Order: sequence, then structure tokens, then C-alpha cells
Amino acid sequence: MVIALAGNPNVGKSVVFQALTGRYGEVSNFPGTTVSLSRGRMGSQVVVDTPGIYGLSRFTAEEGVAVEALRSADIIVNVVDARHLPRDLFLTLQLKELGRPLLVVLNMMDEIRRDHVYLNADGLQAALGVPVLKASAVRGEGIPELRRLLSGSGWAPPAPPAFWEELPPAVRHLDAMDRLLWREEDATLVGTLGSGPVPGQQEVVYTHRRRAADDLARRFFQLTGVTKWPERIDRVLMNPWTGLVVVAGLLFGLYESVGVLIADRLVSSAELALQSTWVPAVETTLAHVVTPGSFIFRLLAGEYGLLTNTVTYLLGLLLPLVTGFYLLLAVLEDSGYLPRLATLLDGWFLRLGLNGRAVIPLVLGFGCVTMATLTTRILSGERERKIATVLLAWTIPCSAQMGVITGLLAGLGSTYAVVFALTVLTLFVGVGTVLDRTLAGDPVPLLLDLPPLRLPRPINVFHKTRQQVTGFLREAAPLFLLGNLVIESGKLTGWLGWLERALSPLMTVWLRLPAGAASAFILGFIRRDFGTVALYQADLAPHQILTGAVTLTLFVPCMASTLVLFREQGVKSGLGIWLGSIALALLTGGMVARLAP
Amino acid sequence: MRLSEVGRGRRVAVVNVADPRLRPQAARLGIQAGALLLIKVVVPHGPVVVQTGPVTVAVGRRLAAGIEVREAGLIVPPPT
Repeated sequence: MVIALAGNPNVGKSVVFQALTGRYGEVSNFPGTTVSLSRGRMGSQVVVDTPGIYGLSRFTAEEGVAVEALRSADIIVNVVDARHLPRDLFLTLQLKELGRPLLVVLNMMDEIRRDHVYLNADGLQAALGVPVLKASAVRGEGIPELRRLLSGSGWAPPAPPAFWEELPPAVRHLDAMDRLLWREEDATLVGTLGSGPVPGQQEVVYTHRRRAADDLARRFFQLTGVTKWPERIDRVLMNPWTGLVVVAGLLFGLYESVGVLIADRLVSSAELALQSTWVPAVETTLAHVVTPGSFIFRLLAGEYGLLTNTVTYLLGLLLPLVTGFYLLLAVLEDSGYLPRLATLLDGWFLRLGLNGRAVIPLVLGFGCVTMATLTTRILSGERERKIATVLLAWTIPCSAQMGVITGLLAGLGSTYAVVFALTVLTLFVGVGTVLDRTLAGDPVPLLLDLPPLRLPRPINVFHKTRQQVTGFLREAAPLFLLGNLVIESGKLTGWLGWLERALSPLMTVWLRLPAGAASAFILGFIRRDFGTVALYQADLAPHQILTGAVTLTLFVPCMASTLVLFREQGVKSGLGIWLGSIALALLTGGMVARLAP
Repeated sequence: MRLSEVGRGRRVAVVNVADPRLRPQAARLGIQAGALLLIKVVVPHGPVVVQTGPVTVAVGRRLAAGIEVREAGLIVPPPT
């Protein structure tokens, strides 16, 4: 038995998923967190968490993911935000038309009184003709009942939807999902079958369903008052002046907390402590077992040694920085601020061929470019996905790299940080503008649901940060080993020296960096932050650090995001984007080396 | 009158959504002919933020320019 959770974005599906399976899915306060599927088990049953959707259709790539997951579900659990019932009922009514066993969970019941909502769940259950359960998943309320209902039998298939009778014989062989999609003029399906329903039927069906949902809402749901403060905060966040002050404040806070506090103070002392105690201890101990200077010794305790510097970099340098970044991002995500930022910046983003929605993957890119590239699935079209993907791959440094860069630049004074930020921002705007002018089509106008603002829940922030940080360590540690292996075997066989000599004109003449910086770029192919870390120890002059930081920021995305890039954009376009980043990085790096103060 | 021309705090009823690409998506969020909207925030050169029922939606300026509305005054939804 496969149980699929379906619901609008941001209704607490992931929390219900976690309560049922014990697995922690991603939770935040904006649409589009679950861009791929999470699977877990509840007893002998498989539970699938799907991306949040407003309806069964394939308007975005993420909706396509949800549709495919729901196609094979035996039971559908429709999680509904009780506070937003009128909106959510549209999907509920559409899910009913799949003719599958359906159960509605009215989530967030603990918040309806505060939000001045009156709700008649029994009346709704009678009108819908499916079980309707009241719940508050974050508090665990209603979950035992849900489990009992799901593990019970008595799931007779409901009566087939009435419209099946009216389908022409040519489409009767389709499964329930495709019947529904066909009737609503799904472009892909109509294209493959070669014939569709009467043109305009989608609108007729949608209008009818919307009215039915509104009618149900009128009977069983009522707003009895308003809370004033969220509205006031919204006006501050989305006003062009005060909104930008908030953005500037956040950036300053980021620089002060991650850059100055964590990178400059915490990291330097942690790194120093590890360098002076851990590293010599390992070297001495290891010397008893392995001949110093041998390949194995260098692999374990050399320049990027697995037991020495890998530990220092990962735990002493990257871990605090990455944790700081993710903590901040988690707070932003959970509060519901990001959709407000999207609204504020929409007008500007249109000039880059994107709408404000793209703020979400782009801000997430500052956490992890790989994950953000996947999140481009929430964007409205191929054109927008491409522009956002290129911007992510080329101009957005991920948390690990950003942390290292902030640390490097914080040591040099604010002028360098400002020049760095302006250079990258200029390229971001430039690349976006060029793509907007060259790619065919127009940006799709913004249509974005703003979730209620809330104080970030510490437990969510904690889980999210922990999940991201462990993910980071799990991915980075083996790659560091790989990078180390490449560098050490390069030294052993001599090809590294050869490559450094070959690249030396590029490094010394064009970028005005020491020839040895080539190894930083080789590490940069594996993970950009490793490359930037290599700058840390290279003893460079301030303007060389700036050149290195800019070039490595624009340089190819890490291996993991390169793989995602190829998967999401295809080999041809992926390769183009990948090679383009090298060209842009070197071009800009050379210019910074010449023009920067 | 267009949604993009309405000031903050006003109440309007939707007459028609022009962009056929976004009409189904707007309907799913509750913005369709007949829907009552309260204008909450107007971002200059940016989106119009409207409330419909309990839901708040940011509508891009170009889309808002294609949504025809009429003044709804203080029409209260019929009691249940």
C-alpha cells in the first residue's frame, strides 16, 4: 500500500510525514521546500511526501513531480491548512475526482482561534463525503487518529467520478490521473494523444470547481476578525524604502555574525588550536607506522592530508561557517520572510528575465547551490529555470565558500568586501540582463501566495540546520579525500607540476597570482570552497586575495551541483553553462587583477 | 478599472483575468471573476498584494494590469 500526502504548499505536509514515519522531511515557511519526493515507512505501508501544489496539473516542473507520485498512490491524504480552507478546497475537490480513497486532514487547528477562523469540520465531512480529521501536526494532535484510520481496512474504492461517463471512448484506456488531466486540457497529454477535449474546457472545469470550493467554504468556514500586526509588518517589509533597509540590515547582520564573529574570531582560534595540537600529534603518531614522506603518509598527513588538514578545514574552518549560514537561512525560511522579499524584488527581477519567485532558489543558493538548482523547479517556465540556473552556477557562492571568502575579506577591511560584493552583483545583473535580452520569450508575471508571518520555531530551525550541516559533512568529507588524492597523485606522478607550469602564464600574467594557485583551481573543480580554502594558506597580498576570491566565486560549481546541473538542464546546455563559468571567471579575474584598488 | 490602478485599503471585485496563461493558476488561489479582493500593499513598479478570504497573494504588476476589477465598497459576504 502506498499512502501519498498531497496538499497546497506550506500546509504542514512534511510535519505530518515526519509524525507518520519518524523521518524528518524539510520544513520551512515558503512554497517549494519539497521539490523532490521523500519516502518513509509506517508499518508495512509506504508513505510518500509530495511537493506542495495548488492543483493537479503540470504548470511547473514541481507539479509534474507531484502528479507522478499521486498517480500510483493507493490512499491519498490531503493535508489542508485549516486557516486557508477556501484556497485548499480547490485541490481537495480535484483529488476527489481521481476516484481514489481520500482522507482530509485539517491541519493547524491550534492556530485557527488566534487567526479568528470559525470552522465546521463535521459539516465539511458530510458535504465532502470523505473522512475529515482535525489535527495539529506540530503538536502531534490528531496523528494517532490518522494512523488508526490509515492502518484500518474499510478503504472501499469510492464511486467513480461522474465525468468518466462522459469521456470519449478514445481516452477510456487512460488511468485515473490521465483522465483527469486530459479533461483539463493538460498540454503534454493532449499533445501525445493528438486530441483534446473541447477547447476552453479547462477554464469551464476550473471555474466550476472554484465556485464549488467557495460555496463549501461559505457554508463551513468563516473569518470572524482580523489581526492587525502582520499587516503592519508586511507593509514595512514590502515598502521599497523600509524593505531595502531590512535587506541591508540582514546583510550587515550576516557579515557581522558569520564574517566577523564566526570567521574572524571563532574560526581563527579553532583553526589555530587544531593546527598547533591535533596536526603535530597525528604527524608524530603516524610517523611510527608509515614512513614520513611516502605517498600514503602524504595522503594521510600531507598538505591536504585526510587526518590532518581535512580535519582542520572541515571541523575548524568550514563547519562553524556553514553552521552559521544555515542557521541564519533557517530563521529566514521559517519566518515567511522570503516570499515578502520576492514581492519586494519582483520589479527588479523582471529586468533579469525572472519574476520575484526566483528569489527563493537564489537565496537558497547562498546555502547550497546544488539544492537551489533543484529548487528552480518551482519556477514557472523553462526560460526562467535556465536563467536562474545560470545565475546560480556562475554568480552565487554557496555557504561554505561564502564563509571562507567572508573570512578572507574580513581580515582585509571593508573596502575589499565592498569591491567583491559589487563585482559579483554587477555580474549577476549583467548576466541576467543579457540572458533576458537573448533568450526568446517573456518572464511570466508573479503570482505568489504569501504564507502568514510567524516567529521561527526553534525546533524547526534546529532540525533544518542539523540536517543541512550533516548533509554538508557527509558530502564534503569524501570529496576532500578525492581532492587530496588527485593533488597528491598529481605531485607523485608529476602531472601537477606540469599543469602548474602550463597554467602559470594564466595564473601569473593574467590573474597576477602565484603559479601555485593553480592547485586551488584544481581543487575548485571538486568543491569551490576547497579552492577558496587553498587561498587561505597561500600567503597572498590583499589584492591577490580579492582576485582569487572573485575568480573562484565565478568558477565552475562544485561536482555535486555540476551533476545536478547536467541532470536538470541536459548535457548540451549543462556543458555550455559549465564552460561558460570558466570563461567568465577568468575574464573577470583578470580584470579585477588590473582594475581593483 | 485595472487591479494595478487601485490604491491600498480599497475593496474590489474581479470582473475578468486577461492573461489566459495565468487564469487557471489565479483561479486556484481564489482570484477569478466575482472574487472579492482587499488591496493590502502596493509595491511601486512592483506587485499588488491582495487578500482574498484568508489568503494573501502577491500579483505581479503586468498580471495586475490585465485584471479588470470594479469597486466593491464594503460588500460583506452573505452570512452563513
